[in-house]
Amino acid sequence: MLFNSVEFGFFLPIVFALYWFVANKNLRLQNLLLLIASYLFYGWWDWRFLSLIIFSSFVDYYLGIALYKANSHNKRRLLLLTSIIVNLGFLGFFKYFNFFAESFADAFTLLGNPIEASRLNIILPVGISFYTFQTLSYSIDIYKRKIEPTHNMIAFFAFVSFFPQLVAGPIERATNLLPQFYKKRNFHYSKAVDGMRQILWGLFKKVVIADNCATYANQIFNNSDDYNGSTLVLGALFFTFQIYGDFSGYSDIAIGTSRLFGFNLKKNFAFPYFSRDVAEFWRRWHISLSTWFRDYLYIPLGGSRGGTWMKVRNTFIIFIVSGFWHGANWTFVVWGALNAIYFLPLLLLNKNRTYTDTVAQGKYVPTFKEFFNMLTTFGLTVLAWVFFRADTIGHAWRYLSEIFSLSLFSIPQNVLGHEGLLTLVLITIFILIEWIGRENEYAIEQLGFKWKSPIRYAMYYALIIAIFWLGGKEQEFIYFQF
Amino acid sequence: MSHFIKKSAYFVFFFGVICELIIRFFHLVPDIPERYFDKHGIQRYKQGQMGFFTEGKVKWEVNNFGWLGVSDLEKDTIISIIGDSYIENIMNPIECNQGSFLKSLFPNYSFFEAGRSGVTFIEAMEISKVLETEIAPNYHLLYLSENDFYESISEIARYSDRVQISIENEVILDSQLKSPRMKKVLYNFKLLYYLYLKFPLFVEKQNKEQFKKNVIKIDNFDKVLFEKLFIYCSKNYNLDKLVFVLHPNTDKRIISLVNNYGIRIVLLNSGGDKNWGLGKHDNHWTCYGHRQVSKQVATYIENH
Repeated sequence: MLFNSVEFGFFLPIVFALYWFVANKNLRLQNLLLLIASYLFYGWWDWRFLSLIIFSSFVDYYLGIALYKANSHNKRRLLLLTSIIVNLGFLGFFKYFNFFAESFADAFTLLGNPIEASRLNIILPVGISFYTFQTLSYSIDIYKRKIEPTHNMIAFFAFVSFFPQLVAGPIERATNLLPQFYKKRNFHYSKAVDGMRQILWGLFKKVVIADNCATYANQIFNNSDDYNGSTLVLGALFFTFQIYGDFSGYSDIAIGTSRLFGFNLKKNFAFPYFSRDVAEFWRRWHISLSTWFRDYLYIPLGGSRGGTWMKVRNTFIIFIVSGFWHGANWTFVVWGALNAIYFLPLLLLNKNRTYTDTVAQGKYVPTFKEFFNMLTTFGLTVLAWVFFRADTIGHAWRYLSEIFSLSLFSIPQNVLGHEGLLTLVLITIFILIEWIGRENEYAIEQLGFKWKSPIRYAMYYALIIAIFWLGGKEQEFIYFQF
Repeated sequence: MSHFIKKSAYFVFFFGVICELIIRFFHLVPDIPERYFDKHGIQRYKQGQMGFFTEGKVKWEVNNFGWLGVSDLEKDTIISIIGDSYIENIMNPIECNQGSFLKSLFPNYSFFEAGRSGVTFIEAMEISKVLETEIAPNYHLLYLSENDFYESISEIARYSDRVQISIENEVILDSQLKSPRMKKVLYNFKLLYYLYLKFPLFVEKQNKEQFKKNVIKIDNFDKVLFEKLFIYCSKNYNLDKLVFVLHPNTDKRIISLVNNYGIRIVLLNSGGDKNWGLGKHDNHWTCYGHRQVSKQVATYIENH
């Protein structure tokens, strides 16, 4: 079920009403309701893959208990390894089997021994990368004795499959989300209103910004050989806003929906396009994934404690794995490596934590230096997105070659029309609102609170009408495929 | 909680009112005219209605005969144009109707259109019979697609909202208005209709149904039933006055049957020109498509 679908428009109020009016007296019943609703939400897409998530939940539930009870170090390691193999095994099979089969075949062909890759006709279960990482962190945290395992099966199953963040994050840790299933949730008016506002903003980002940008990004990327450099820059810019609107929009809807049910999820985006360097960008983009890799991969590898070589190695590993997490394609690997190259100088010069505050805090306008830094970081990010969006590395290379040719200085070809120009206007308004609200959890968190209520409501109505009227053609969330 | 529910309800209510006003002001959904049954059991539109197709670009008006379209009876030679939504042509201005194009090519003839969405082949035949008594045309041009033949025979599939024939019993089955009350609510509450048209829950369902229909059509060609259909027609209608204008790519088996009964045919040929259709999900002809169709029909009229 998509957040931007009619089905979800019916689903959410029904679950909300049952949750607060029927199951409100009984915590166990509330958790059970959330579990059933989550399975319905997931099974709406393809009920057969429910077995996968249920199996994964079973494995980690029992392994977690066994891990905690085990005294011998070897046994604990074995149990953790089992959890890792099961979780990554599913992920590897569904997501990477065909990729590795084809890559091996290509490698043999290059060596002069052509072989046929045997592909499997399998589809990728939606959200597998997200819930796999969530369950995996639970087992690792128990292994590290950071948390105790739960004996509340319903709570654990509901934690793994919690529908607002099940298919595209934020990737929650057991330390944050699981305890919330144990405590009685009370309805708070202000929290619910805040949740609704965040949902509204998320839908605006997704339906109005991302879906409209998708039309032009797809058109330009799919026919990139026909366009000049300046048009290709436009295509890359459209994709830059598409992916941000799409993914951060999803996160906003997920966080807002959770708030309606009395849950607090982690912040996943913090206005990344206003970053002053790439290190800041990565502290602000897909935060739940970046911190996951930091805690479960980068630090165990030694982090930045070792010598220069160790720092370089670990940085490349974390960025390349992060890229590979996004999809089974070399383009994602290159995208990750490129970001590592952007990041490394900052790390080696100990400048990776220069900007930990919000840009131009308390001011409307940034300084020239801040503006220049933001623009440079944004430009580097846009270039990296070309690899992310392109079908193959060759495609990305041709795309970038054309951008860096003389045709960059020619007038963009007429691909937009009136609707495209309207999309550019919408993006401009969007950037302004994001800039104004950049010190908050989400852009419109505080917007309009000091206004008279008719004006505030007019803003809500304007956003909703824009969603209904100016929304692009419905597209799936990009991150569903990851 | 009650405060939240109350505020949400007010919010949704006012939102509904605002959207309703916007949708009406900008004509974001088409206005659909109300129908009634005439004494012959034919569905017509209530006279005097007028409205707009989407975005207010196209205005329609029901004429005194209960049809949307050209109703010229001034000349001695009258040619009727009968068909389904293609002839009704509510999505284009009336200047793009077959009647308008043909009139511009043959100023000495009068053209009278009787088109309505959902008209089957057998209903088109019934309409031709009714028009004989009402306006006595010299010829009837029946614009038909392959589906119209299949949907005429109740033994293949029963459609209660369409006029059909039970071949075995040789009885015309009158149509019924499908959920008229719900439609009335839907057509008058524009926001609901807008949501109904815009969101994919319903569209996907419609597409699936359309897909099923297309499959039925291909798998159910029954020569015996079709023979009986044409035998019935030859007994009950004046075939001499009929000219069938068949959509491009009509099944050759149907064409052959039509020929066997001596009915004259204009077989349209789009030559694969995609500009004939309105778009990916709508095969109705554009203004350009209608012009091309009228040219092909005009060539036939000139030669005969």
